[in-house]
Amino acid sequence: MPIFNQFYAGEGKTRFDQGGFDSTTNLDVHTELGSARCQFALAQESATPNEASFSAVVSNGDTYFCSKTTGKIWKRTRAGVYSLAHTNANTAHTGCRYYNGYLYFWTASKLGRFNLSSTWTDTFGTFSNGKGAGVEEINLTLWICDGKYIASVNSAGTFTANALDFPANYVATCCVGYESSLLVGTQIGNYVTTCKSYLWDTWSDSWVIEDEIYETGINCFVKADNIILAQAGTTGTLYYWTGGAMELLGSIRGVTTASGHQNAAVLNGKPLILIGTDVYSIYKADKDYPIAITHEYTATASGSSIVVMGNQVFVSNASGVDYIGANRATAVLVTPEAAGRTNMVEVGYSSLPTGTSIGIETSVDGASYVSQTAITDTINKKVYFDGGLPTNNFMQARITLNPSTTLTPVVTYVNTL
Amino acid sequence: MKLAMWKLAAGEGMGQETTEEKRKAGEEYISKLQSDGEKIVKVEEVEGYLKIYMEE
Repeated sequence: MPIFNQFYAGEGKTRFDQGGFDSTTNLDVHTELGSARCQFALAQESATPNEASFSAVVSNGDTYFCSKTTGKIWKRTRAGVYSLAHTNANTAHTGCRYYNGYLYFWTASKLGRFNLSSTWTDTFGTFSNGKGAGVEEINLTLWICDGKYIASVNSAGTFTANALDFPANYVATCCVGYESSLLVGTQIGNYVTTCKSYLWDTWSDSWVIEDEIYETGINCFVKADNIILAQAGTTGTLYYWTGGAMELLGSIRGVTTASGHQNAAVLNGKPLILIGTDVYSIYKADKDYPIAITHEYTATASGSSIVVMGNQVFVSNASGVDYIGANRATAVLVTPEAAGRTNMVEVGYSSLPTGTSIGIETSVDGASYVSQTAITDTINKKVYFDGGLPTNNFMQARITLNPSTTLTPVVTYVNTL
Repeated sequence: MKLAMWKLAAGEGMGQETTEEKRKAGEEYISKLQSDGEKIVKVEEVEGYLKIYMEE
């Protein structure tokens, strides 16, 4: 009968894919390859900013949060003290980014900047199309999406409203550096199921390559090591940039996705994507292993942006800012549907600290999950339930890893017998 | 003074604006700046760009 121990593979392609788990929640599969444990829990660090915000880390480690609904801009010092720093007269922001000694912040129509000491300039530049969106810095220049244009600020601080233009029906949503070029994601409209990505060398009057995908838009780019991922459409689909085209990678199953150019960040080399309250990693911790999609964190409320400062992650939502706390989160993993008569489940563990536990639930022939009485065998280091399942044709097991504050079980396999 | 640049050079990609269209769009952009309250001091054309100088 199947033994599931390839935790590093993350979630499978479907419920039936035996090469991965049907689902994961708050699971750390990368710290020690071959095992799984509870990931650290996201906890609210501050109740302000109390508005959904974009976020940017500046050179000294301070983080700024720019409200998506008002002109308020908050500062979090590197030490973790929050305060209202400024109110932008141009109101609701659509992005922010540190560049060349300044915090740049923008609304749909106006670009502002702050010199990190005392001077706030709310209108440093004016977008032509009133559609300020995603941003990237490459080739010594800051590039900002504005509808059919890419606007720019160069290292001398000169603003150009239309550094590149696209066909008029395309709206640039997000952009990312690829080698020494700029890769731009677009959409036409929420109900038009085709969009394009454009690769531009940042010097020529035209883009170099364009590629069409059949999605309602590119929502955000996810940077990984030598690979650029794009999350597109409304159902979690992921593409990767081959250098000449967007190629289908797979999808994050069971999620609803929407445009959000600040919904991705990289934590210690691990790409993260924020979808509602859920934070997934799309990562392999070793070159020999596959890229795994794993649910790693759950925010306390639906997030509006994710940013990394050092080893810390901040997720902004309408009620405050979450960060990675010291405690572990309850983790859940679900095995794929195992065909054949199954009577029991055992979970091997490497560590089961005092106060932690492992729960086992089973679903047979597609019925609801039933909680089983788990028995801990400390000699053979496994937790199991003692059989007694009704006659079945297929079965799934749902394993819950219950932490105790900072302590977590470490499991090494799930066996269905 | 504050400076904004407007590119006039046309690309050759399908659907891109021609230089003529860019010039027209540049005029509309200057009008937009003025209607937003920007005080235009000087506009000059240099090396394929409109350089739009505004009061700080």
